[in-house]
Amino acid sequence: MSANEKISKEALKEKVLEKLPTLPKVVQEAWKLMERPNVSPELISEVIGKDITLTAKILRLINSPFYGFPNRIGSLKHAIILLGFNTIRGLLISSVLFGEITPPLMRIWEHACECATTAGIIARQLNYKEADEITVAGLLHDMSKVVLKVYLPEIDAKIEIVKQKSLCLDYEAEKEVMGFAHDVINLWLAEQWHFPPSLTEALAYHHTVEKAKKYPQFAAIINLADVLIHVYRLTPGMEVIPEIHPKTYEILNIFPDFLFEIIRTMDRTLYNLEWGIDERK
Amino acid sequence: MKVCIPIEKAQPGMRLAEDISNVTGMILCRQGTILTETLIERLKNANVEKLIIEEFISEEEARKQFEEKKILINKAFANKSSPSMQMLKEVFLKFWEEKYLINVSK
Repeated sequence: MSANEKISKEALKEKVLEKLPTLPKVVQEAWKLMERPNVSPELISEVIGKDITLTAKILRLINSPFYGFPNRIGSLKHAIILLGFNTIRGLLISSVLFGEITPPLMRIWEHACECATTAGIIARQLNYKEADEITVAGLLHDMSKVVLKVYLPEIDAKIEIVKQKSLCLDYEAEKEVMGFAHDVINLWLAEQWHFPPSLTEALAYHHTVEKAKKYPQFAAIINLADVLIHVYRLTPGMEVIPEIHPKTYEILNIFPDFLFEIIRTMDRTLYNLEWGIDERK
Repeated sequence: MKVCIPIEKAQPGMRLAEDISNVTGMILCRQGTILTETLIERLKNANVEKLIIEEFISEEEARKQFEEKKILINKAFANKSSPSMQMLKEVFLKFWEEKYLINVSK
């Protein structure tokens, strides 16, 4: 039984990687450049700038409420200088994966935006200088769900059936159908696309925070943000929430008063977000 | 209770629950301002798209909504016994209580 499980995980990994979309040329080019030392933001913005649609998408993301920049960021070069390469990489992938928000993706997109917002709030209140990167990690933490829905619809359909039947979390339904969940697929994608280690750990370990050896705070913040949004958005009939990892509060040094402040800020900020989401359509 | 509405739904007499800023962060209108016809026109001209206003709800309605939140929270946390989750539950209950009952007589 165990040997069979192992084979099917490997087989599934192969299938996922095979079905994965090729990143647009511009994205690949920019990515390679950003891996080199001492590359100028100017050059990166020139490369990305060749794709006007992509540039527009990135600028819209940067100017959306979850980044909370008080002044509009008008140029890509400015954005790159302000946000740094890791965040830009995250935004590039977001623009590709969430390029077309079709109705089936709407729920995932809304949750992604809310998590990004909350992750940013937590990171800023903790005075982390990597707050922008952590925000984009919030945006991407369910990226493999998009990949499943768009590129592996047969598997996604099975997961949806289990969710309807058992009224459970995506995580639990995924485990039932595939034997593992979206966080594992996140790791495969992050490795395939050469994500920086910080983003990789945030995306792969937001449910298994203890596995984040180099960037535990990143994983912990995404874990916390995800749970906070689920609790905040509870609706009758779907009272299922994920767990706060036992190490999360300790890693982030969270106390009740602090948590209360985060929830308050999240509540205030999410009002503005409701309309930001519509713009993205 | 604070509610977010599109500017098309704004009516004179409504009270702003939050400051309104334009895209560059400049505050156009302070929290607490009562909207007038003129003000709404000017905000529309300034490309404001949404407002957060105070919605009046009765004490009874506030208590009812709070009870509904409590039921949701209790159900969701029913089998979550870890100290982390219990702390989160307490904090959320306190948050919803403040949000719904803050204007209700103590």
